[in-house]
Amino acid sequence: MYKNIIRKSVGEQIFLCLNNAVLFMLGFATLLPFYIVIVNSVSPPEDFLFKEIIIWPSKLDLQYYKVVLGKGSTIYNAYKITAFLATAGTFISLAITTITAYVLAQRKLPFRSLLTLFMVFTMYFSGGMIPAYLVVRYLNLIDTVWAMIIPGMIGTYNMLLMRNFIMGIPGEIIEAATIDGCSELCMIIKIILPISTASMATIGLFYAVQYWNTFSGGVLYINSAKLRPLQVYLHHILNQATLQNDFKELGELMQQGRYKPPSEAVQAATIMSATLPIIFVYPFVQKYFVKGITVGSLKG
Amino acid sequence: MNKSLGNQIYKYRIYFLMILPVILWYIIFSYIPMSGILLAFKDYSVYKGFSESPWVGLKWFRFIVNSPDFFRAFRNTVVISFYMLVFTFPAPIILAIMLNECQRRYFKRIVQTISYLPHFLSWAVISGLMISLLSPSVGFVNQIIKLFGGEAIYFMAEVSYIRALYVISALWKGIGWGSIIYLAKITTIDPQLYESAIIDGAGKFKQIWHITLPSMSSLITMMLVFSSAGLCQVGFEQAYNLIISPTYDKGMVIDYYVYRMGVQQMKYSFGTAVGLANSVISIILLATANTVAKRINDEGAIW
Repeated sequence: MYKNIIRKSVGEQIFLCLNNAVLFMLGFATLLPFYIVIVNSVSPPEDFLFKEIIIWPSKLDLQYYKVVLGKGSTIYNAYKITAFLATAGTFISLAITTITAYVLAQRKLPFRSLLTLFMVFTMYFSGGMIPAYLVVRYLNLIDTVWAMIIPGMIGTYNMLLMRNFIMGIPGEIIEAATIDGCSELCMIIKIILPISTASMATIGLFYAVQYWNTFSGGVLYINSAKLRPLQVYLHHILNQATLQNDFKELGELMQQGRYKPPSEAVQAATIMSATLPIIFVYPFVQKYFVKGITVGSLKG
Repeated sequence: MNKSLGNQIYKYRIYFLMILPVILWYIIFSYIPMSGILLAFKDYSVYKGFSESPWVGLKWFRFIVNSPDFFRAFRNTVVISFYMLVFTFPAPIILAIMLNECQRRYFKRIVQTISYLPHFLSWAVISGLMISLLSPSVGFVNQIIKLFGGEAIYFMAEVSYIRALYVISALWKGIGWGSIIYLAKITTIDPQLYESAIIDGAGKFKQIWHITLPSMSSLITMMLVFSSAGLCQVGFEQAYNLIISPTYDKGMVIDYYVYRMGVQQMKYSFGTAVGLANSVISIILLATANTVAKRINDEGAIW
């Protein structure tokens, strides 16, 4: 309001201009890499040979996507694994997190603070990579998808967020339900779940992103190429010289001596194939994440 | 007393039943690995198992002290994480202040939305973007360098650039997301403070210096203490996706070194010892930072 009453001085106007300019540059710098990779992934091979700088494709060429997403491409294995992790993993994590949070939200539960401490302690201390690896190995989980789900199944921080939310549910509602003869299971299904849909959505999204980006688990616990999650697969494509082993269509084209597309373009198409799903979903779910982080951090 | 506690436990038996698998999970995947640091004092072999493997005392730590590879990784970790702290710590604060000063609401919201995006990308994707952007033949950056008559630089394989790449990529990934918490704090500042400052003739910089920053000081100190726990730590995923053998000399960090020694070469005890040595050092750093924070700003200390 006061901004309308007091006229802006020249200095202030310069400040605002500069401020906006810098913010614009930041947005630009964030988007530029995506732009370049998208352009690379749809530019025809000539552009790579003859153009000094590729800012705009001379024509829209989807052949690299055909190679990456074509028949016999190994990317489908990776998609399958990551889709499984992001659905089954998210479901399992969310279910267990909610149940744990619900139990710890019982104010009169004996040993409640001891149990909470027992879990919070693990946020600050861990045995490190090797002992964790040996446990997974000992349990015979190496080279199974479960190795990428079970060891990181519960996020203690997410669980605490959920617990704080459930504790915020007015006691009257719980009491009324108890008087009406609601059992524990009924309480969870009929009262707690409907009230906490929004916060469960937030935490579910946290887990979904975490599983979509599964990397360490895939590197540490998976040896078989068939079980590579998408991000590990992407790393593999970016760091090997011969792409025709992974993209059957490319191998066939090269065998016929037809052409060899620039590997940069094929890599760019792979990067976008691994990233586009998240970029498409992101604008719609972004606000839930922001809510999650601000609620968690400011309330302690 | 005991009886009533017994009654209480009995009353809550369903809850305990529900949480029992979770407790087991914490024991198996957190507490057993924690006790697994004892491996650092044993000569562990998979065939003998944990209890049968002989105790070797500080053998592996003597090994570490005499290992040039460890020192290289440790030095890199300290240097890179220090640079990261210096650059990536203040950046979100500055961004939050700038976003707060921005008076065009839609523009502000768009910048915010864009700047949070990289947080959701994996390091594999980010390294892919970097490889594309920096490729010596068709990368955008090198195309520009060549356009101005310079010579192409293979940034990703050049040992002298690797530390800068660590910092820039971390900055790019984290600046927007990091600003959220500061922005939330700024919105709690009473606007009357600014009004009276304006009446007193304070310009924008004076307002920021005398109102915005002091209002955030305890949060900033607290976040600084948290970040100092990250000194001596450079993420495994970032390292794994960023460095290749030509850049090991200045880019190899502890977490990746532990992986190579422990998992790839199956020197389990040695790997554990390296990890343990590193965490002990970083805990000492955290405690020091907290003590210093207490002296400077009591609210900022985390314990």
